[in-house]
Amino acid sequence: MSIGRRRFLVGASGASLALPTLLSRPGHAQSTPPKRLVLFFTPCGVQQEQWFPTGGERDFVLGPTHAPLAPHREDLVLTKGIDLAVRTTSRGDSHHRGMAMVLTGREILPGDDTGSTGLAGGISVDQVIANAIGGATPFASYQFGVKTRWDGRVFDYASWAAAGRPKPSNDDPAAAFRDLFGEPSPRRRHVLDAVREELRRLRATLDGADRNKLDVHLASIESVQARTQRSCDPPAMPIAEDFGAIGRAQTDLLVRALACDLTRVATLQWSTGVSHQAFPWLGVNDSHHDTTHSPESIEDRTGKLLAIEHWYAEQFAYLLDQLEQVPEGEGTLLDHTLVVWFNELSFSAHGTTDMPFVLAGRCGGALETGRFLQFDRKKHNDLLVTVLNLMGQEVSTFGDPELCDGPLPL
Amino acid sequence: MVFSALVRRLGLVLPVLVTGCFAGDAPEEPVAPCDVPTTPPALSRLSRAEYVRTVRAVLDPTLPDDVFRDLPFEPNVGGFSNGAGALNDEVLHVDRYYDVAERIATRIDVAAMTPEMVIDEYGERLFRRPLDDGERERLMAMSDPTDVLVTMLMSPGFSYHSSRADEWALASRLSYAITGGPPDAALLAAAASGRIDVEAQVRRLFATPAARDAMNRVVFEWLQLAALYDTWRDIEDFETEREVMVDEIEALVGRTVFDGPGTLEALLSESRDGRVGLLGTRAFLVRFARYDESNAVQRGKFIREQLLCQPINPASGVVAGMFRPVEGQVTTRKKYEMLVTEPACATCHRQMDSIGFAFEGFDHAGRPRTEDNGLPVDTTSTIVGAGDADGSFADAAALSAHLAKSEYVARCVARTMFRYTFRRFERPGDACYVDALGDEFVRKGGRFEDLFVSIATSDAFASEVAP
Repeated sequence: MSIGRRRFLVGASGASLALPTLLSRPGHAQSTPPKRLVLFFTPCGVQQEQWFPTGGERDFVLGPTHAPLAPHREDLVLTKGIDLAVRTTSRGDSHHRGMAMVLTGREILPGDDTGSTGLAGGISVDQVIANAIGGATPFASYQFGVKTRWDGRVFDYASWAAAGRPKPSNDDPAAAFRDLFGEPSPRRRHVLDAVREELRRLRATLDGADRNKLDVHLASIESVQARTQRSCDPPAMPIAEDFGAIGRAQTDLLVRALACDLTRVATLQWSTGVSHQAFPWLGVNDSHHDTTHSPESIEDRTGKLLAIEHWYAEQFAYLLDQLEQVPEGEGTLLDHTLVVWFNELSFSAHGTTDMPFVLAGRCGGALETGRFLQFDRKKHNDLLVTVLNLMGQEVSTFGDPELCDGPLPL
Repeated sequence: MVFSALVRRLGLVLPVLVTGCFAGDAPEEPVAPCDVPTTPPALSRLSRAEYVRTVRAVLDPTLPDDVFRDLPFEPNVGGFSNGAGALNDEVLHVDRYYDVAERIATRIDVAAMTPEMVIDEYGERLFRRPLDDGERERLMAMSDPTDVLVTMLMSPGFSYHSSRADEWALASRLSYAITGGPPDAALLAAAASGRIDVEAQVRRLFATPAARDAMNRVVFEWLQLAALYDTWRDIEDFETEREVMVDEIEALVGRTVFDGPGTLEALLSESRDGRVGLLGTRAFLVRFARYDESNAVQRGKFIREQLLCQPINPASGVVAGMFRPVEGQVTTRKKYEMLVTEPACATCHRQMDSIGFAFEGFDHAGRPRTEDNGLPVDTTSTIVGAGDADGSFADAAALSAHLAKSEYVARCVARTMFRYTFRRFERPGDACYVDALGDEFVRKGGRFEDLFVSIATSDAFASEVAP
């Protein structure tokens, strides 16, 4: 296959998309496609009765919420019996704890002296993988967001570089497009070199937390400076204003970034913990979170929440569709990707038992899909260990070791 | 501070972390003299708002909002957006700050200028201090004047609040605290002379339009009004109406804080067109409401947390009571009363709901009403556990009038203004200082201008610019 050859594909929408094949890229010819990790967040828990499948490991029947995923039944690993592992001393309610702990496996930090909660207490799994394999790509990881700005506290962040250090999502597809596919300004290198020099000099006069802060700043500049250009057909410049359209644009950018090997680790965060997003197009005018606690009949409330969850399932299906549209090696991009769908709660009334984790993609053959796995009260830290193992990290604990029993038996 | 006093103070804070409704409480009595807090300030970036004001003040007041759209958001600290001490420069931030800096610089016509001219024209005002020789030299080494400007906008001298111990840093700190923007020419001149008359500068700055803008922003963030722009209400032409509601708040602040008595009492109790004070504004009533229904829980929670400084502990465990269906035609108040009956829920909910019920005379759109779902509204309300703010009230007007005169509320507001001006939550070592600030605010009749003077002239404020 010659360099520069493009294969034309027809996307789900019927539009023609030009996508590069990884095999055509110099340096990767004939090699096994790398593993990718995608973390997909949706908030506020689920209606468990309609969420979980029925039946056994292989003969399961998808729950009504997952109807949009029917075409991907064989790409999924649905789970039940995994609980959010928390210490009873943790501050905050289940939303706070969930946001801080679901990807870090560590207790939420205490907040200020007024007794509030702080930020997450450790690094999240995606960043562990980014640190391990991110050097191979221009971006170690990329955080795609869909309206992820609420109050600048723990609810706004799914990904964490370290304790107290959130990796904010980029909510603007146009800016993500510029980062990933744009030509950097010709003056950027020159300017950032000069800025780096000023930061180094300031750093030498500081100590403690302030010095650490400048270390982060310097490392970020160095990471930008170290980016290499990678030839890749850019997708169309996205223009999106509303929640659904932003999400679609971000999904498209994410898939293209993975396909072009601009990054191998990505998060797609829909809204925030305790989501204030309303869904008027589904007849839900109150915010998602207000709806979970609304003083209306069970039928009315559940109906609205199911509409939201069904809609999110459609967005998840769209992501899988797009990953599957990219041919790669002997299969598709989805075959080489591990997708983890996660939530800060289990059931919407602040539940932490039977967290709604869904895995998808074959992770380069490491994960056997088309299964419904029911565990006997496992801790979510063990799922995080499993994710790290699937991605090639040989660890037996992650986060708080006291909250680990070992990887899940897959 | 004597040990017992410290224990008493901390005692109000720590045990309730384990049980109870409140995560903290306002100290009851003042202790003097105060030690100056010794924790050095965290290196803090300019917040979004401070960045925009600084660039507009120095480079071009007509730069449109769109230029600044990509600026990173800072974490919320102490309820305010100026706590950028908590912001770390992640990779994403470098990209966004660069985009914005270049977008700004390419709109400023420096083509005919030499690098030296760019530095002389803008350097000191962008950095809020003279550039040192090394900074100057390194910028002079660049050949392109636009590069010089972009570099200055990305440099720590511009991006971070000064951590140096000098009059320049004090001038900056004063200016950002009162006007939300950089020091003006008079303040820079005072800093250059080496002696800033702090009280005179505070009073001068407080009379500027910038101080009004800054106070409007403080009130906007204190009332958490950003939520009006992220959520929806069953109100015709809501996108226009919410702007009008915010304008109404700004008009109230102008009339009471700047053009009127200048006091907290006036802000909370001004009676006009059937509405009483800040808590009678449509913006408050609509912010704390559901899409098409009043929400006494949210309204009461705001007052408990923001006017009484008693943060409610988040509900622990499963929130089970919410699944109780409510039958029949009832008022919104009755519905909430029927929903929250489990003792485990009711204990804390009463602390919020019993205050919020005062506002049942206003619907989700902030419109006055006497009936709700065809039944007469009940606006009786009570506050307990909050010192002289305690009482029983016939309606929202009576509640507001009472809160307006409460020392307990004034102390809480002084505490809030501490968080804003110090860009952080108080720490245990600050308890004495925050108390003393509350005393002084009460003694001065709750005048905001005097509160800024008290803060700015204090050793604690000055010490936070010291190394």
